[in-house]
Amino acid sequence: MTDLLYKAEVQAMVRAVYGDLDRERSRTRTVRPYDDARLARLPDQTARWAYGTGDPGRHAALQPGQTVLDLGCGAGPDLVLAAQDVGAGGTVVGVDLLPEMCARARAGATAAGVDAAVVVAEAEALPLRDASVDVVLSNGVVSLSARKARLLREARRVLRDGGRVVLADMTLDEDDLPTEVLLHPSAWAG
Amino acid sequence: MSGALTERAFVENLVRAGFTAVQVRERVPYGLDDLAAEPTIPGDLVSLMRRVLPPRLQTRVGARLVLEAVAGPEPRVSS
Repeated sequence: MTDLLYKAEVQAMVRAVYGDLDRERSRTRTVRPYDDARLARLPDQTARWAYGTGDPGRHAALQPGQTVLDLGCGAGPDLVLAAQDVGAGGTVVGVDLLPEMCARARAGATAAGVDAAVVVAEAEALPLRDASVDVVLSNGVVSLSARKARLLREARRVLRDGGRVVLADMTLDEDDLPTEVLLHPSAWAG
Repeated sequence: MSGALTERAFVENLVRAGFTAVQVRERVPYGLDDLAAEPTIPGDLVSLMRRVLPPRLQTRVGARLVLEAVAGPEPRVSS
């Protein structure tokens, strides 16, 4: 099938950028989405990969026993925090495109002593049943997707009626960046 | 950056996907200096943006948002 949206290319760029991050440089970030108290709840190995745009879990008011999907879980900071919040009676599922990130998320959950299922899958084709989730969290993922409408419809499909989505993401003040920026390969992954 | 939406388009996409009661829970503006400190934004991209972005966008390219929305009733297919 022809990939009219260059999905494969976008995914390759995301994989390349996130597979080769300069974690020392992350110390210079001017925006730190997680406060110290929430970072302290994470294993060091997970906190080092906390590159999210925001802290959606802080706004989600998760309750014990809820079922939560972390859509594009990366190395799992939001996944681990959510698993702590919903407790042993809850369920947390993480989905990420990159197997290496899923492996980090699983290891982080194990180090934190929480249960979470982590699945390699595309955010636009979720391996979850309809209306099976109470809360969808996502952190910096919508802007990376070449099929945003499909991703958001999938988030809606897996949520129960009345369930909530809490998304952190970058937005732009103007509709389009200059063409030179739009065409820069790294601009599709950062 | 290339895939980022405006806040208005983001909200419209959520509504089209079947969400209601969309709220912005957090809005933190960012500029090029903030992007320069991001590990996912390479230096050459920041340099390019410094050259080509109009001055009004240099200090504020956009915002980091946290949005919350409620799953509205799923549309039912009538036969």
